[in-house]
Amino acid sequence: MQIKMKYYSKKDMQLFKWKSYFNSSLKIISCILFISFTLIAHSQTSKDYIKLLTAEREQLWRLDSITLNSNYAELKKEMVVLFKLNNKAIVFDGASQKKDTISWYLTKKERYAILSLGEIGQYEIDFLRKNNLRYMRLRNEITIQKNINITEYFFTPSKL
Amino acid sequence: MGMIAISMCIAWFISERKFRLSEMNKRSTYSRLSNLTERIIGAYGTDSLANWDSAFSHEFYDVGTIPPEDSSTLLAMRRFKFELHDKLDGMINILDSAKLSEAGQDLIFACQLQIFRISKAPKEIAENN
Repeated sequence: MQIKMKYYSKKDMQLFKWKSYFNSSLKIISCILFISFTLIAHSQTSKDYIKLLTAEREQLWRLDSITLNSNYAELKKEMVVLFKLNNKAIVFDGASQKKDTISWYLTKKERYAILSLGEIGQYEIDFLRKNNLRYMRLRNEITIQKNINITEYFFTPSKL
Repeated sequence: MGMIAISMCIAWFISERKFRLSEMNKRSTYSRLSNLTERIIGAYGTDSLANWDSAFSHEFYDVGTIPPEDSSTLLAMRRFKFELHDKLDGMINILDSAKLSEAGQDLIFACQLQIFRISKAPKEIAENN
């Protein structure tokens, strides 16, 4: 049996070297990109929520719909809220034309965040997008008990 | 005396068999739940997702196959169910688009933990004896 040996020129060797450098650098870059994307995906802090909630102090959130048939006991129908950076929220009651100032604060848990709204209550807060529309969703904190209904309140942003 | 000893042995054997069967059932339930969750996380089409959702509800969520004392799995299941509904409803979480996957991972982890506990329990009992 004859073994054929192939000899490479210096130029070829250089080219191989460059190719291997390029491949390894590509691997390193993709690794860095992957890690940074993963870090970004898992780095939701209170600040991220607050940024969307206050939207530079000029965004009103209007209660648009709820998922369960409720009498809107906690959050009133057509209610509009303006969240300010000083942890005060101005609540406009659409029906009675009343205006109240309440305090708000946000607590970040591992997988979700809780918004405390003065005397009104505590809700899990999410920012969602559906059909190019943005929503802020407030809902009662999810518990193990299935018999406790979770009411979901959907707010849409509207400018001042 | 001999009869009493034999009947005690038979009773012990029956109870041991029942215990082993129930442990096997529990392990199989957690394993099936874990597999189904993994499939749901990996599903791409809405149709397949809807099918898996119905299987998830009928086989686990609505029928109470998970014992009430296992609060961590029950809570993980409930959160996963809500995330699944969001996905089926076409809702995208702006701050965390991988929320369904994360909730699924939590549920899988809770199942694996239970499987580990079930597998470990007979050994512990044997060691204590």
